[in-house]
Amino acid sequence: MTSDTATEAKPGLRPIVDYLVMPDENSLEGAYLRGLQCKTCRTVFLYAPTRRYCAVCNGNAEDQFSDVQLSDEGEVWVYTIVHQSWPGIPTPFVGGIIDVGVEGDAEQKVAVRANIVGVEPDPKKVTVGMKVRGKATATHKDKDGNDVVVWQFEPA
Amino acid sequence: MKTDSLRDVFVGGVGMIKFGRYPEENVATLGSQAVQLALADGGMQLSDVQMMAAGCLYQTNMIGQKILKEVGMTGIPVYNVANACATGSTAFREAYFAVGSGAYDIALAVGVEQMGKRGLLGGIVGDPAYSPEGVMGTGTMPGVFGMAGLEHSRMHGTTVEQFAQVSVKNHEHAMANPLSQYQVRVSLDDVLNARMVAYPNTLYMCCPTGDGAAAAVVMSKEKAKQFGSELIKVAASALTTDPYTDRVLTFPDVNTMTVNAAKEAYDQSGLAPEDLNSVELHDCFATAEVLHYENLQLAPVGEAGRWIDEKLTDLSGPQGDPRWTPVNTSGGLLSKGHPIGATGVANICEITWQLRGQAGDRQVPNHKAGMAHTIGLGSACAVHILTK
Repeated sequence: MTSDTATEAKPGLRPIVDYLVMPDENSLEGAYLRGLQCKTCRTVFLYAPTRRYCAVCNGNAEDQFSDVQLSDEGEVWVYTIVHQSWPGIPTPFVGGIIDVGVEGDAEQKVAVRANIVGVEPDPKKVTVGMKVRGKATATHKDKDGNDVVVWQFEPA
Repeated sequence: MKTDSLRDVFVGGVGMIKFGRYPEENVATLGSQAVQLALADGGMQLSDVQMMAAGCLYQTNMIGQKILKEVGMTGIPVYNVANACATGSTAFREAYFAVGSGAYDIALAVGVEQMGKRGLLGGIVGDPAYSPEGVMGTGTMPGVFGMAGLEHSRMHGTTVEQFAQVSVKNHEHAMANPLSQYQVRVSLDDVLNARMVAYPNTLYMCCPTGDGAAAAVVMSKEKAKQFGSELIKVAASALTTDPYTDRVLTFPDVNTMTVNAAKEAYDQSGLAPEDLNSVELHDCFATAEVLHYENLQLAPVGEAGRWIDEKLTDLSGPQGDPRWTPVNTSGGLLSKGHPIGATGVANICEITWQLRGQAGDRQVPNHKAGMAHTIGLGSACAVHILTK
């Protein structure tokens, strides 16, 4: 979660996960997914402020990772259509695992968990291998009135 | 792992309570009943037991001690074990090592869970507005295993009907298991038309939640002979975690760690898949069972669908076919139930009963070797092979 240095921030946009970056806090424009790339083995992880070591090669130097931006474009690896979830979660929704590329490194891919929107929640309509494009959307508000922003994919 | 410095370990007593819902009990009183059943089965006393490993996922702390406060506080060393759905198997493995090491002659493994009518596992932790579930994909179990099934479909063309048939088979098997939580026949249409939980898993393709307990006493060969037990040997014990594979941090990989654990188990035991007479594997969802046919080398990669179509894992299938190896004669998690901590020890019970010829109407003829498999997300995989 982003940190508020002001004690009373005006309601604004807040990303739901650390690896969703909005360069302009007041706009969805230019939002992207952020990754950390291990300098030793080149594996890319979804950004987390606490990732210190590489989960693949145990690389543990002070500056083990470089910041990378993930591509908006991806391909659906698998999906499911969820009809029963925890209380308060609207269903049905299409949940997927989407492979996206990494800007500046054509060999790396990262799997992102996200909803697939803009398509009926019907196995005849969603397909594995579908090409999709990601975007940031504000889907609901938090208790302070901020808009919570998620990353979603829609058919490209 | 190296096993040459371990001595042989034998299962001397097993017992489990019928899985179900027992709101008037608690995890200690459920576990204590299983312990008594295992002791009685083996003809031994609690005072014979020198070490205990107790598995319970949601109430791990002091579960072993709470059970001893029910059955007898003998002061023995207790390990309280949690490893997600591989909890019971991990407890069993601790007991195995206790005896295999030579440090103890008789050890007890007990697994227990009380889940009631809990429904979906997990839940929102922290501020619900910042929970990604439902707005950024799904991490619920039916969803994860639904996706794992579709992964198999995309690679091998497995159909929803083939996944659903697993539920039909396991519910049918359970008709011969009075300890199963459910003893209800379901047709393929029943399964396909049941309420969808997470595509392609309908309600009957999801294991139920409930309460249960199972226990097993393991011992050295000398002790097994002393107690007059048929010699049921733990021929292999393997435990793995998920190695890094593509996507694993976002989409759990239940396959690689199972492949690895199975290989280690076959290696340790010197057996091949065709030597197994039955397998109790982790059918938490109908889609999961299909994956494990291949992961455990029961079917060649890509052929699990055909194995289902030809009933090669069905008790009612072609017994003369050398590939026939019944899977989940107990009814599996789908029908027998999945009180998480108990499952890994219940598997051992079923394989032991099969080996001893005590499986009643679900008996596999000439049963000489069986495999028990569990997985826990996060992740862990345990595979044991028992032989006689």
